[in-house]
Amino acid sequence: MSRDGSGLLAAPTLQMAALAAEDATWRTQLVVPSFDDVYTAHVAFVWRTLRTFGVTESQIEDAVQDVFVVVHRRLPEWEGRAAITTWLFAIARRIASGVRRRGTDRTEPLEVDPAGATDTFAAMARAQAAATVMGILEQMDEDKRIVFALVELEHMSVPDVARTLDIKLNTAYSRLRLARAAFELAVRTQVKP
Amino acid sequence: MKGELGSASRALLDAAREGMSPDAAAIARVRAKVGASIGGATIVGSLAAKLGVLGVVVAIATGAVLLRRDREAPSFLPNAVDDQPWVSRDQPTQIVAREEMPDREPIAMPPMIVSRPPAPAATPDPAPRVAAARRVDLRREVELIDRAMAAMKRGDAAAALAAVRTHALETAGTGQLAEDATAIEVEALCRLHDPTVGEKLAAFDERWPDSAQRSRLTTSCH
Repeated sequence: MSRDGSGLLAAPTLQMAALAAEDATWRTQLVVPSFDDVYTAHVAFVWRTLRTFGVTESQIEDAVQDVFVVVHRRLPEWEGRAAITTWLFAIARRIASGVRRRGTDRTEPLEVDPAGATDTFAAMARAQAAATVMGILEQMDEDKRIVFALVELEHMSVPDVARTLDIKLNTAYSRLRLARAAFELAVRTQVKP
Repeated sequence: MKGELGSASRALLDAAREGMSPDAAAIARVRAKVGASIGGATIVGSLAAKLGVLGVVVAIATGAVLLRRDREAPSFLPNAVDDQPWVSRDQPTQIVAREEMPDREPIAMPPMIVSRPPAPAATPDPAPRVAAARRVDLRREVELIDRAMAAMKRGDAAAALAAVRTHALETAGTGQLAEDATAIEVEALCRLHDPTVGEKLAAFDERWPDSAQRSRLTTSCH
């Protein structure tokens, strides 16, 4: 465990020093966005991602809050090696996993916003569409559901999705194809023209 | 079908995307909650000092009331303490505050409160008590990971290991940030050239085969 001068560590140490120097150079070029910028730009993405992972409507605000508490603390250490959405996705995935593991609902009932009454019909239509899509997605296994949601709801490219999920490109395309087929079939049977 | 979605599916998804997104009020509400949590975390850190000040204030107020009422029972006092606005919704703050509440007892002897040593809440890592009692709050997990990251930054791998092992103890290895904690542990073991690092890395791969941190570990443990 100790570095006792045995000489065995000389080569790795030089290599590590070179890597550290490279890392330091790279870090100086990285511009870390502010927390508010990240929140404003990506809160909807985080919200939808959590929903895709099965976080319920009543749990969602606390889950989003948990994600951004982590983001706030970890943002200075964000290394920019991957897109920030990839980083946020990883955090959201872990938080969603925790929420599902707990399986408890720690949120008080959501309040209805009376200010939205003028747009009630449109809001109801959107909510109904969301419920229908969520219902269909719940029938898919998680691997396909996540690829499908990232491509079709988040409009990410398939190569980006493959990178985000750290899977092979062909695997991503395969999952997307199967998920699209399942979605299309479900829409035909569930949604009346 | 050729792998593409039809127009009905596309329209449904477009509407659903909006329906699955937060409205402006929800965005503002969650932002406020995050702000409160972040502020709350800071408050936890300085809670001991605040409670010390609170103790002095309570003691002085109590003494004055006691003098005026000539030993009438001061039953209002616990409520006055419970209603402090800086106590957030999150458990740790409340628990710490309640752990401090025994300070209410010596109401009849205000000087005892003033001279009481501040804040057992500030003692580091009360791991066994917390581990046995309840699930660890996310804020506590973040605090430990922060501590470990800070130690790694200043080159103190041993301190980083201590922090992540406290995390493992308190969460029984199942915390929401277990992946981060384990990655830091592997990184710290690499820096210390610990012979068990290979096993740890293999265990990490097995548990989180798709981890986004794997490439960083490869780099730092090369």
